[in-house]
Amino acid sequence: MAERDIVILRVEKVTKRFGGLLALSDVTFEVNQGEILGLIGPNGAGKTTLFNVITGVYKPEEGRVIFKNKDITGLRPHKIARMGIARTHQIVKPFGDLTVLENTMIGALYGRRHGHITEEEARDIALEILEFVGLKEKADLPARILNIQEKKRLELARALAEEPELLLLDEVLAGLNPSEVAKMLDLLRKIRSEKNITMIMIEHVMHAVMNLADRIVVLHFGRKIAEGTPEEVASNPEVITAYLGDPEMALKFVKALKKG
Amino acid sequence: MTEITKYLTKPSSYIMWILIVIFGIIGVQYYAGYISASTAAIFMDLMKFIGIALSLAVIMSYTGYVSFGHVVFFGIGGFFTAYELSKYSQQILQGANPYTIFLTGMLIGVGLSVLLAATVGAAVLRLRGAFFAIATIGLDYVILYLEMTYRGGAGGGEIYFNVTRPKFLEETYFVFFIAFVITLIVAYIVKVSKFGYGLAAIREDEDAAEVIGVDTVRYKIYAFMIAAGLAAIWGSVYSWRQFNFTPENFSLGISVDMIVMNVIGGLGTFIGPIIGAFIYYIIYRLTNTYLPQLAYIILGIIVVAVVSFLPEGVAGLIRSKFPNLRKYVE
Repeated sequence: MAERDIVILRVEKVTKRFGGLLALSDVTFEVNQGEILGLIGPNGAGKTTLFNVITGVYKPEEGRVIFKNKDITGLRPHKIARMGIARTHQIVKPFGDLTVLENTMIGALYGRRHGHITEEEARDIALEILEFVGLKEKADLPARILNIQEKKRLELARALAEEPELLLLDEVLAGLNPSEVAKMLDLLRKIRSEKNITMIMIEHVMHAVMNLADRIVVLHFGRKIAEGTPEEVASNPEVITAYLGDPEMALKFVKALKKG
Repeated sequence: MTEITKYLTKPSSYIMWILIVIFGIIGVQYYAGYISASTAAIFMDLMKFIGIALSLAVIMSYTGYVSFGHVVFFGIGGFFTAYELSKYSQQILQGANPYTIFLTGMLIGVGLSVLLAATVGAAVLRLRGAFFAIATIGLDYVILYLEMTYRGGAGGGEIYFNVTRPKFLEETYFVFFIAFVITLIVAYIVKVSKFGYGLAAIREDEDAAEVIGVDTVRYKIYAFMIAAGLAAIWGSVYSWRQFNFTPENFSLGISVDMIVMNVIGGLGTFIGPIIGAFIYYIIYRLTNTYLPQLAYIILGIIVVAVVSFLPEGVAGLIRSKFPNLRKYVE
């Protein structure tokens, strides 16, 4: 596909420190329009920090983040959100006292169409998205009473309601049981096929990443140690060594490899 | 403009309109002489309680920032109103229209309050939770002791003035009523507008709100400015009614009253502070009349009970027990 050759996001030599801790070190990669990029790495590798740098929550000490040919490094998060980057959080952050519908409407009101959208339009978008993620019948319930699986869907709904061009998914599968994982994967496939949104997904559920991602970037102690198709990455000795530091992950990794 | 008309015809605005009609009718009856001054005074007190509770609600209940310094804006509004009226007392005696002077004082007070909220807010609204609350207490002390150095009027920060008009009390009822209508409409529109959704998002999770696209810094300051302006209006009309200004108008206790009314009524709603003000006022009147020694003890116990057993307040209780009423109870 020709459009996949268009670079939508470029992370250039990004370095982020917390005191003496080097959370990200000289990380560079590109994301093409329409693709799903998997972002993997052992715990503490800097994956969520990278999301925080892209969305403007943290300002990197060095390097740049280029979104659609615009330098967005150091912009405040709300500005970046309005430009078309949405994210979900690893630890869900619903607006608990507001209803599921209101949560999703806020995404629509303040997302990419910020300032050019009426409340009715936002409501329509929100209802459509809630139908899409399978939360429509919960629309009028307060978000705090949802279970974890539903809260993860709500995170996704709120992000989708922003009508983003780039969606950052931070462990949307974590904490879900196998049947819920399968449902969520279907949903992610549907987002890709019906909405054509570019995605970066942080994921520990290896078979999911291997299945879904077009390409994978591997972080380890804040450095990018590999990048390529799932097959290339899985056979990369440095990646396997990195994961061997974490026996449980290594096991998952090998299992995923066998399935693939 | 069409947006505003749309907001003001929502089902959740009905309670507001009913209140406006009731208080309006009472004013007309009072002016016509069917209602005694002491009864009218009860309704004026109620309007003031609802007014100051709603003014704080914009920053505390809608946005989630508990301000103990909100009385500062009430005091500034009152101070400049009294200051202007006492400065021009000679002219008033000679027949100048006191309302123009009153309005000038109010505008100065409201303007300075909004300005103070914008500048102080830019600094203290970076703080969260208890730190913000403590910073606002500091603000209150600074302004209070600053005001007490004022020696212009009666000294010791006190100002007295005199306005004699044939139907002063009846007119003052309508002064309160206008402030009441303005406060209700502003607080209601802030709540149900797109801006209100943004404030609710900030209250629920500020970091998530920012990442979704809410300009949290700007929104918090705007909310603080609106809250300050409304409080200043009430300080101003209160001074007008009292013929004076004293440093007690800056006392922390008034801030606490406002907070308690919001908590009893229920946070996060428009109707909550109104219900809270009603309940608070009724208890306050009853205890003050029949058990004056125990008034604040009883109020204190009620606050503890509400926070322990009804953390969402009366409005929250109505919303969860009667989901059908939700569209009327915003």
